[in-house]
Amino acid sequence: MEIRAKLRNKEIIRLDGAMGTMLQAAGLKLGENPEVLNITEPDMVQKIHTAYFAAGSEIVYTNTFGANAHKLMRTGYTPEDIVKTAVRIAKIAAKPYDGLAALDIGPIGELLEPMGSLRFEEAYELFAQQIRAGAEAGADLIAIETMTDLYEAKAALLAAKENCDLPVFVTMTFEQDGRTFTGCSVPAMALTLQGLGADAIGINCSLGPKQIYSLARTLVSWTTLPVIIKPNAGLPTVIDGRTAYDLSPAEFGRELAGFLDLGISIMGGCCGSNPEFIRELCRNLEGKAPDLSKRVEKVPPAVCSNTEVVPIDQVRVIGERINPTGKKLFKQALLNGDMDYIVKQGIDQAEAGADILDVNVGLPSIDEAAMMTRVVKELQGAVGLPLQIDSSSQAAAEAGLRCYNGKPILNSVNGEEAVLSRLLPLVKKYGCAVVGLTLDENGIPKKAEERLEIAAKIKARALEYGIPPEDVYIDCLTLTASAEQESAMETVRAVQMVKEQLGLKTVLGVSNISFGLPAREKLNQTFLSAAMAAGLDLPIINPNAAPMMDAVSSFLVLSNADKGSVKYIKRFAQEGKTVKSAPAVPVAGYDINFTILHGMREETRQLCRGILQETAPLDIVNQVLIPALDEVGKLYESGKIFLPQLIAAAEAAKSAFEVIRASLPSGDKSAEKGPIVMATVKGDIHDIGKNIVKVVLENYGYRIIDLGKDVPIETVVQAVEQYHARLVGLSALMTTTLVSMEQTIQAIRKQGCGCKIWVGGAVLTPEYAQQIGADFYAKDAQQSVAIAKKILG
Amino acid sequence: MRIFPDVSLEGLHADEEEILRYVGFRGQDINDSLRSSIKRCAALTEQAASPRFVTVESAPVRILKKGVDLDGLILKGKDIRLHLGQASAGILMGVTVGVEIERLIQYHRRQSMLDVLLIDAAATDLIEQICSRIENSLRNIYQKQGLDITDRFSCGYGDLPIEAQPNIIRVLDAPRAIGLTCSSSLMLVPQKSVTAILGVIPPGSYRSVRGCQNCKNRKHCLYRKEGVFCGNKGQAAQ
Repeated sequence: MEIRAKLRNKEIIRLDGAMGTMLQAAGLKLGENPEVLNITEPDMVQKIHTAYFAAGSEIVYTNTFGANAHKLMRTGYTPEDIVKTAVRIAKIAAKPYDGLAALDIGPIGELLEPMGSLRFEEAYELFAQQIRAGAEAGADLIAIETMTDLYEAKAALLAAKENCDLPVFVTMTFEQDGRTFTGCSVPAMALTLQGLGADAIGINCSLGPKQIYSLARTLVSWTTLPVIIKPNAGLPTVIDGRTAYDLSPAEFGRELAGFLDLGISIMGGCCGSNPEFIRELCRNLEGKAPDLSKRVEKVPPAVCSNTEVVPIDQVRVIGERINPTGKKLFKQALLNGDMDYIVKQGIDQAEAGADILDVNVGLPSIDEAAMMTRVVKELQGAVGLPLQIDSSSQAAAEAGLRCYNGKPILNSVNGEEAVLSRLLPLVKKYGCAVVGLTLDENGIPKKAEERLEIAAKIKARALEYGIPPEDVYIDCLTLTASAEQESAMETVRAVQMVKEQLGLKTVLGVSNISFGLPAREKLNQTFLSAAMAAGLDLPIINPNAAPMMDAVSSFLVLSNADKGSVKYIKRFAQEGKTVKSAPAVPVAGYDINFTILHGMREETRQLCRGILQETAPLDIVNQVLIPALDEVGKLYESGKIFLPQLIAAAEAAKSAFEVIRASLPSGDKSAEKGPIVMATVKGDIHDIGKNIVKVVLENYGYRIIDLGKDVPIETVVQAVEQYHARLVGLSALMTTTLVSMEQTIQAIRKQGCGCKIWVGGAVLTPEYAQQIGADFYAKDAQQSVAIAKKILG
Repeated sequence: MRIFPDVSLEGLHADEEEILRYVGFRGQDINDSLRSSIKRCAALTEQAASPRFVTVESAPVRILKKGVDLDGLILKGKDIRLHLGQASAGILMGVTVGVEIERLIQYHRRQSMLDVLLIDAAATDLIEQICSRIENSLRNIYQKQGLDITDRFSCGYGDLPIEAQPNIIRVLDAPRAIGLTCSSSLMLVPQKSVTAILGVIPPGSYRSVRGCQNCKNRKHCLYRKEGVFCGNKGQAAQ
């Protein structure tokens, strides 16, 4: 069977039914590895494949669902052993029927980062191992199935694309509400997996045909690929004391064949099905064809995270704040690896109404690619907005695109041939959208017509690489009005021309227009409005600037996007109450000790500003903040206040500390002691305790290098070296991760760093801490402070 | 064999007093700001929770010299022997409140660790409530058959080693059933999740094995120092 031709024409392809169900019927127990049967009972497995071919299947999935190194660990077999045998068996069964053998790849069984401790790169390797073995053994295609995590599906799909030339099917499994366990929606799956080059995508397992139907209907409106539906034999229920699925083969065959009406062409069965189900399915498919008139011709223009899809069907705001240019604190955060600060920029913009976040971490003194990976991973674990990967370094751009969980935007390419040929292949490979700047080796053209020409060139070149026009966003470039006043309306004209004549979406960084002039926001706001009226889709602005968001809000009403002005009314019903810039809170009569003790953040911040007028910053830290915190600490030790109150006080003090840090000239480190490196050790993802200790320590003026959780041993050692840390804090919550802690301590000592190490975590005791070579044990944040004072002063 | 007790997961509310207990409350003065933070975080947690569970009945139960063999699943230790000593079948239970809570925590930790602490405590309380509901529903089912069930016993209680966790997850088919996995360091992921073992027993034949005397941490437990106890509310706090 020439599969690629069948896929191209969306002809019917008949898959097989359940393997697990059949093996259980033959005596496989709950909890046993079915894959081992390829080696111990090859005839049993081959018989099942043959039965499916005889029933009408054209493709069988090999018995390799769990054949990854993690799941096979206790069996004594390697993935290569299992995969090669399984493929061989399937191909033998396939031969008389001229059928095909698909290498079945199921989930690894562990959750990927950031929720779990399995890294994206590790997952990739586990999949690559199976795929290489399968391709070598002669598998005809790869079938990635039953995925609940889009990130894991991406790892598997990339592994397939980079380790073999076979066609790749990818199906995910959804709950009735249209989301997977990790929150992935059907459109997010479609956008991401089609972009990454899957040959067919779809839905399998968890639900029966009836329950999947509405999900399938959504799916076909979000992809132009052939669609696979492989449902369970209905829903599980207990019949006569045994668990069974509620559909008969005839009902199943009838219901599933009905999916032809949606233009779906690839079908089979999952849990609970057997050859009878496939026979009935094939009977119902006889003489029929999928109704392809139901399929969309183009994927709707959109980007997504794994949970959120942002269609570019109205003005969407791209937040520009994650960028070190001109931002002293941001640069400092990059140098310190302070993920909290950076992610908070993302969260603030999300709360202010941004739809997409631009991410730029370009700073000369850091490893930009490594930082991009780290920031993207942290951001996507905290904020659900799609990201725009912004870098002029190819390595950093690729790093961001690769580790992103969803369909991002790449900022940017331009009209230069060298840039296009270097970056467009990346865009194609990772399936992202791309911003094209209308400049080339000759600079930025003056006239709109010339910018249009460059835009047309970018569109054509992208098309040559197979990148659809829906994924090309043109940036007509904003120049400064103070230097080139005629260019302002030229840009607006260019936006209009690109929209009308090329039919492409448009992007624009707006703030540049007002550089060097007073009252910048007024110019920005008006320019933004003019550009949106001309057809601007994606303004890149600061969402925390209310006047800019007001302009967007207003335009959404005028452009008929905010139907019934619902959002507009909601936004401005708050008129008079400012949202982000908090009004002055009454502080008369409070002193700062009181406000810190009672966890009053805003009041503390304001009082501190007042005190700064007449007291030096360092004096405030040493004579006001630290004594206040010491007092709080004493109250905590004596039980007069408890943990939430300690934290509230620490966070109130933190707001004072932020004011102080902002008032110091940049580079002034006099308020900082330390640094202290902190980490939750490898294999452990419990970090709430560590984060509480961190907040408290920061307020005593210690600079903290927070490496996060599940931190590899080498990373800790490296950070201690890099930052010349004299104190290191390690936390672990589980008995199983104490081993990692001990190993981390040993590695630090071996490096000869000469630093002191303190440890904490529910499972630690003073005795154990000593046993594993730590210098100190801290049972809580206050003891950690005492240790820090002792070592660092 | 997978069983489907009829359990309502509707109307779950994180209990404020329980949240306070989890964060170490011992009668301190609480101001309005903290009270309202607790309410707010409880509501956020309830919204983000996707409670799910899977229950499997396994038989036969074979008592071994140093543990129990539950239809091929080997569980080690003297406590599990006591726990399932009278059981004709075992029930395995896996429960989670889902990954959204983790995301909620990641979102809030940059703004307020206090919120994170409260969300974490609220999620712990929700899990406890869900487990109780499931246990009650199971008890009803078996009592109708003239039987009874034990209470819940989990890895890490007494001398039941945490190394049993991956096997329990596998027998439950928990990743596929409810998206619950076990990491290579034996942590349950999503974190706010629980597995437990119960036994189906003749009525009146059971004495709980839970409680402080069986806990490995009894010498260092901060709760015990204050005369209270942690989440392992056995039949008596000792």
